Formats: sequence, structure tokens, C-alpha cells
Amino acid sequence: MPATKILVGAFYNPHLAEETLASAGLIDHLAMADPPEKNDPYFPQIRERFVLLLHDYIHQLADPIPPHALERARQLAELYRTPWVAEHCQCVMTQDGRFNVDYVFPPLYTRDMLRRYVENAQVLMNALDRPLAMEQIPRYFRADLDEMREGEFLREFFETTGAGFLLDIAHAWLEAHYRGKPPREYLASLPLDLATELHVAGVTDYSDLDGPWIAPVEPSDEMLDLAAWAFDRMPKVRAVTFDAFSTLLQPGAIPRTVERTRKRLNLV
Amino acid sequence: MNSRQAQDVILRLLADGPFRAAVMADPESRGAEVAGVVLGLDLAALDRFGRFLGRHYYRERVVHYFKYARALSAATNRPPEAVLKTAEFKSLMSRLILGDRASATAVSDLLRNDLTRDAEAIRSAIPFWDDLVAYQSAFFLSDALPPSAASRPFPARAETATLLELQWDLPAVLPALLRPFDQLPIPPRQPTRLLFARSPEGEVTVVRCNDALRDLLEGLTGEVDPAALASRMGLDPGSIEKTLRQLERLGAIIAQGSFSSSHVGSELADTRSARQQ
Repeated sequence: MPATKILVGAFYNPHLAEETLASAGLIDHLAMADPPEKNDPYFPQIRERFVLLLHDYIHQLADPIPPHALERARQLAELYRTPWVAEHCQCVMTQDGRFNVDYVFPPLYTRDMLRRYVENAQVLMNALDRPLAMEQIPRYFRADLDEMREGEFLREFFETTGAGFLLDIAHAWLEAHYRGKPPREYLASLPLDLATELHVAGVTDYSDLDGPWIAPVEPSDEMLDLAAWAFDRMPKVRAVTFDAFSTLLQPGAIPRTVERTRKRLNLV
Repeated sequence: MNSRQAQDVILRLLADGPFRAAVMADPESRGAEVAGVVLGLDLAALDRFGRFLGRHYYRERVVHYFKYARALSAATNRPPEAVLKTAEFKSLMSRLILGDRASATAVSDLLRNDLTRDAEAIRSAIPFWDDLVAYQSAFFLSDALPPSAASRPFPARAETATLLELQWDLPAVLPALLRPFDQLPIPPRQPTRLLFARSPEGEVTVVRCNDALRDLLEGLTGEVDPAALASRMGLDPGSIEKTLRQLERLGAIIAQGSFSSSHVGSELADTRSARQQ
């Protein structure tokens, strides 16, 4: 754990803006998953009171980023005055644009894919002139098409580009769950020493999946314990974020989770 | 096949229900290369994830595009997203292709049926209910990917450009429907025509559409020179060029190459833009 102040925050959920503003002493930063609505009356205050982190979909790093996507990211980065930008380690759209799952989904971990990610991440970082953090994404089903392990892919990506690792603890728990591995053993295979941001979140069961998956819910105590275990192995971490962005999120969930996170990670 | 192409096969398996069903029934049905990718996948789990993605995909869009119906669901007792848990939607899932216009139409039909069937009590309380459902359905459909357009010599109205005729001036009250209210905001009862357009980047915009704009759009077949069209409609050729550029940016028309810059003249009747989030 580094000596400098570590930000603790959440995602900006506009329907909870009043509560978020009232919790300004508790919440340091807000991650922005969507641009603010033009008629959002709270956004000017939100922008003044909190550090804002760009955590929107910019473009998948598997493919070259088109100019309009770079320009949109540049405008958002300036609007938020974001200290770094985040993208996901995902590949969700076919190269011809015909098929898009419109949901986070990881790439195959191959040498060719790694080369593509490195090239496109460098273009993005140069265009925005800001550091990049990339979040790992779990895979629900077995795909025996990888050439390298996920941890190797991520480490090589971060070491080559200089980007930071955004570890999502719920994603890690799910990846371990569907691989049948103990979560701490799986976490140890990831480049925690290069992590600059930590997401805490919960999971819930889905009937379509016959099991748990990502959900905008509060983390369990077990999940926070796992986050604390990882956090102690992340010397470069700069922010811890409650990752929940949904109109389903109820009042109270954000301040309660930020407070629990602060206590569990000794960031009070 | 390289790994990026293999990734595309996996993405199509997840997004394209009929493709997935065909490959699950016979992995060789789409060729040896696809079969080679499929060999490394847990297809039963992939199928579950594909269904999960399908439900998630349409839920996101129902929540976004039917937000006014959602805001009124305490009064109507018909939250639009409930349709995604019905047997009708479940039976549709294996036939859906994410982003596809025909699939979006099928889901939109389910939504419209669910929201407007036996809805006399709702119409008594919310007299503009049918218009509101039609407005949101048009938005929902506009989000779908456009069909590939045939090359034409002149600008043509995009197939995704939709004109909607309403009995109520809905845009006048839409923001108010999302805020708390004691009395339901009622829009003026007056014929209102809206144009829905999808930009190449996927942004859906709605603008008011007067008679001149409607006639212009209907005249843009791709086979007619805009200058000749302007002359026939008695419009100023210079301003028509500006209007065509605006319509192209919105995605309402598809232009081949540049518009002629030789046109000069008067202004096309004003159209007020009302871009929606």
C-alpha cells in the first residue's frame, strides 16, 4: 500500500446525485460510465466537488480506434479533468461491425491479440496525453484457444505500454469461480504489483447462467476480505472504487459500501 | 484463421441466435474454420451466456428508450421491461440477432402488444399513451443497425429514417414526465410529425418534421439530382445543400460523394432539433 492518499469513491449514478453530493466528505471520486445528460442539474456541482474518472466505453483495444472515438474520449477527458482514463480488456464487436454483444467480453489471450492491444493502447495514450488503466474481464465459458495465460497477457501489456492495471475484485472472483480455482490462487497469477485502481463490487445469481455474475449490488463481506487481500499486494494503487452503475441501485448503497470499504481497507 | 478472426466467430456465436443454433446442431455446418474454433469452446455454456447477453441487450434498450413508460409504471402497472421475463420473449430468444432490425422489430412488437393490450383504463388516465408507446418504439427501432445500403448516384433517404405521425405534441412534455409531478403533464393535442434518424456512429436523434422536410425526404430516392428536386419543389438549391448536409450528419440520408456546390437560393423551412439522450 503506498504512502500517498488513496482515493475512495464510487460510480456516478445520476438518480442518486443528491445523496452523492451529501456524501462528499465520504466519497473522494466518481467514475463516469456515461457522459452527463444535458439536463442533469447536479452535474456542475458534481464536477466541482469530486475527482472525476473517465470510465466510459472508448473503443475496444483489439482494433484501431477511429478518429471520432478518440475525439469523443478527448472531450470527455477534458470535461472531467480526469487524472487517468480507464478501458476494459475486452473485444465485443466483430471487425466488420455487424455483431456487437454490447457487454464486456474478454479477448482470446494470444500473441497477435497482445500486439494489437499494445499498439492501440499506445495510440490512445498519445491522443489523450493521460495515463491509461485497463480492467480485466472474466470469461464465463471455457475457450481453449488461448496461447498464453490471462496473467501473462496482462503483465506483458502493462509492462510494454506503461498502463496501469485496474483490478476488479468481483471479476476476479467470477473468473476463479468458473475456472474452479481458489480466488487467492487466481489473484496471485495477476500483476497486482502493477495495479493502480481497485474496483469492489458484488455478484448475484442469474437464471440464464445457472450461477453468479456481475451485478450492481453491494459486495459481500467475503468479497471485501478478498479485496483487502489484493489491496495489501498493490503498492501502486491510487484509487478504490465501488463499481455499481445502474438505475436499479437503491439509495444508501453507495455511502454504505464506501464506508464499509474504507473500514475494511483501513482507509478511514 | 488468426486469433482476431477466431474472436469474431465467438462474438457472432454470442450475438446471432440462429447462427449459434445451427453450429450447436452441427459444428461443421458453417465450414471447417468455424468448426475449428467451436472445437475449443464449451458450447452449452456459451449458449447460456448468449441467452444472458440477449436478455441484457434488450433490457438495456428497453430501460433507455422506454424510460417514459417506466416513469409512468406506478400509474399503469406495466413496467415495459417485464416483457423480457415473459414466455413470449423466451421463445423468441433463439431467433434474435443483437443489433438486427428484424429482431428489434420482433421485440418492439412484443412491447407494443404488452403495453397497449386491454389498456382502456390507462388511456383514460394518460390520453396520449398510444402516442407515447409509438414514440418510444420508434426510438427503440432506430437503435438497430441499418441494412446495408445499395450504391445510388444521388442522396437517398436512409432506410432507418422514420417518420412518425402523432396526435399529441409529445416533445413538449417529455422531460416533465421524468420529474416528480402532482398532476400528469398533458401535451397539447395537435398533429405532430417527427423524424427519427440514426447516425453512422449509432446516435439516435429525433427532430420535428414539417411538410417541406417530409416532401424532401420522400423525394430523395437516390435516383434524383437534389438540384432537380429543389427546382420541382420550388425550394432554394443553396439551402437544400445545407439541409442535406445536416440530414447526412443525423443519418437521415445516405449521400454518395459530395453534394453539388453550385446551388444558391432561399432557406428551407426551419426544422427544430430535439436530440434525445
